[in-house]
Amino acid sequence: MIITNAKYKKVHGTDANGSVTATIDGVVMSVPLDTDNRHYAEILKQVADGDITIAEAD
Amino acid sequence: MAIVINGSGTVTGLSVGGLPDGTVDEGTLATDSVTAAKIPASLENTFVSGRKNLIINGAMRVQQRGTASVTSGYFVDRFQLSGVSASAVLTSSTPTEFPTAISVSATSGNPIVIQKIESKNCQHLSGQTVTASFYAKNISNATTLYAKLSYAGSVDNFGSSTTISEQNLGALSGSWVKYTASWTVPAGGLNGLMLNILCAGTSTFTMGVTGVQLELGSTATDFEHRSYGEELALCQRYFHQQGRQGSDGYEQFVNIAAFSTTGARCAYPLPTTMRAFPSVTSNGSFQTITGLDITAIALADSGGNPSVGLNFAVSSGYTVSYAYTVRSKNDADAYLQFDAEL
Repeated sequence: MIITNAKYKKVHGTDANGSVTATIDGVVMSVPLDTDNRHYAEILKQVADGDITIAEAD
Repeated sequence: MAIVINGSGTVTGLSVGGLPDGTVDEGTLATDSVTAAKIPASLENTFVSGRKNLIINGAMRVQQRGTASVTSGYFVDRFQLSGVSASAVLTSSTPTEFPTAISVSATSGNPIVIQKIESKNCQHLSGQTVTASFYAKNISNATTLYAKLSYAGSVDNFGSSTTISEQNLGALSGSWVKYTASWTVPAGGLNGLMLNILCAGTSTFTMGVTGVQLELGSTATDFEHRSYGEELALCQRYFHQQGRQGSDGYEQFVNIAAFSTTGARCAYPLPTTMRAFPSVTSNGSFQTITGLDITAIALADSGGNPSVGLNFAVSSGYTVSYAYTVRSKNDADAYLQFDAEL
């Protein structure tokens, strides 16, 4: 997967990160913080490999 | 040999060979006198019925995404393609039993048709023999056919995988032929299995595939045809799309409630509990039926299952606590996708 523009999004009304918005293979996706989700698992892998970073939420 | 007729009319002392033709007709057999222990294992497989096929959408009839062609990623539901230069859904010149097939082309390497089977559906397979069967055809310049079974490096994680074996199934026929391959599943197979069907070829080469089945046992039995509704429901555990169903461009999607002048939320009901919390994608133009344009659709929180919290943003105009209905805005290609694939 080619992942760009990864950024956390907070749960509405809280300071907790709830999801990651990212462009994955050219498609903008809203990705839950669920390690069973293949997109989130790949985001974590690419972060661990130093290939991408996830920007903090606004 | 003494033949004894006792007082109740029972004859003893007859050997089987003494029967007129060595057979016993149905009427002579006592009810329930043939037990499973007396049925050969090779024949027993033919009696397996109901949910024997571990492959979902093996007949390739469900195609929620509706994409005409992809070169990688998911295509018809549950089937992933790799190494492909072009793909297509075939609805003619398919095997009689299967009205739908796919074709995959490549100019080099090996086009691969993949299905991953989640761990929860593999828990009975350790140490067991499984058999894949499928119809394949050389449409043009495809030469040798292969089938490979692998297992995930960890539960449902195919980021790394181990090959059990790749089997050379020989020259790919120019007509639809049913091919089979068997493997013994090691303990690692409980992490989830991955079936790959691939071919080699020359120049630009194309292979057709349909009728994919993976079942317990060493014998390939007849394909398990499930109803379209059943197959769709099985697919929706991994992927769900709403949209692209109407032709007028104003399809109703969901009801939302405003929590600010720019934000509204819904608990989107998924058609079934998905394998994992799904990723969400939106495509196209949306509006409320009161005419407010939706500017963004995203997860409202950390996801959910079997309902997902979604936010629908507008630049302004919501009234707090009001409810709105969201529809596509003159866009027959608008959709929401929920992806929990492997």
